[in-house]
Amino acid sequence: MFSYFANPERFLKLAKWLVPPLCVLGLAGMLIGLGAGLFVAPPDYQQGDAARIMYVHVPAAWLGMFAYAFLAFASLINFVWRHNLADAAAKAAAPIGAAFTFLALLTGSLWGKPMWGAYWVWDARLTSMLVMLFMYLGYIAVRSIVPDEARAARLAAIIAMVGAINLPIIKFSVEWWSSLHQTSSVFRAGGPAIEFSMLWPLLVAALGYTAFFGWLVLLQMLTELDRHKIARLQRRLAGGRISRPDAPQRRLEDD
Amino acid sequence: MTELLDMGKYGPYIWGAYGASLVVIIGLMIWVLAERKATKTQLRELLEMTGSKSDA
Repeated sequence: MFSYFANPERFLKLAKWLVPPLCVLGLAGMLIGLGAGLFVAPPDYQQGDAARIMYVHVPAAWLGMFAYAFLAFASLINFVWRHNLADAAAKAAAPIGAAFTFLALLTGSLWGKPMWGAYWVWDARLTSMLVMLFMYLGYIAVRSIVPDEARAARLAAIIAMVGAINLPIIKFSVEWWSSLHQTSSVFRAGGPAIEFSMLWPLLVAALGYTAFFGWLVLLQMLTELDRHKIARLQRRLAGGRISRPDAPQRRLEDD
Repeated sequence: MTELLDMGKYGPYIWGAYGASLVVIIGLMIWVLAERKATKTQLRELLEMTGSKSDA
């Protein structure tokens, strides 16, 4: 399957076909899910209305982790097979994943204050999420600082792959260590522990966030492919292999 | 209306969380679409300059 979509022509065709529905699905899912979480879902029997923060916090945290898994996988493909599309996917996913991880930490902090009495505690779940944000920032920093694009991609891929060790730590941190953060309420043995009236807006919002992520990543990948074309054209122009129509009729090699 | 804003005394936290989410989501949209537009424009200009053909 990977080799099939590794062809840029096939990828472009698929991406251009997927972009509009992902945009609609993403925006509609977020609007319905977050709107229902805010105005339709009942308040929690213990936390009251504060539990409504769940509808923005949980999808952002899930997406932060999903985007990191995507980043690590694309980095692995690029590291092993030096595949440009995988590199473009990783490069596109990093800032978007970082933004959602930051959002998960921020909304979690706003939920933590009324429930735990503090905006931040050095809890295993919170700390491992913060480590993931730093891994994202490290990836982005390496890609911006290292001037050689190919070397930057390989170095950043190593950071992404090493950081993937943190994903199971985030997931199981609430079970391995004593934690203020609650254990999983949705993806758990025995099924979700949340009442359906509160569960469906959460799932719809999560679907919307994921489609929105897909839309943004595809657009960024298309932009990245255009940047490659621009770089190629600029190199050709600088090398004098293309004569500008408005330029004097003289080959650069003649100089 | 006051009840809605108050959200059972958790209003500032809830509206703060939703507001921050809205800012991040809209910010990401604007950033990605602006980059797309700028890159497409630059590519089109280069293609016109070189006389090459593309679907940009």
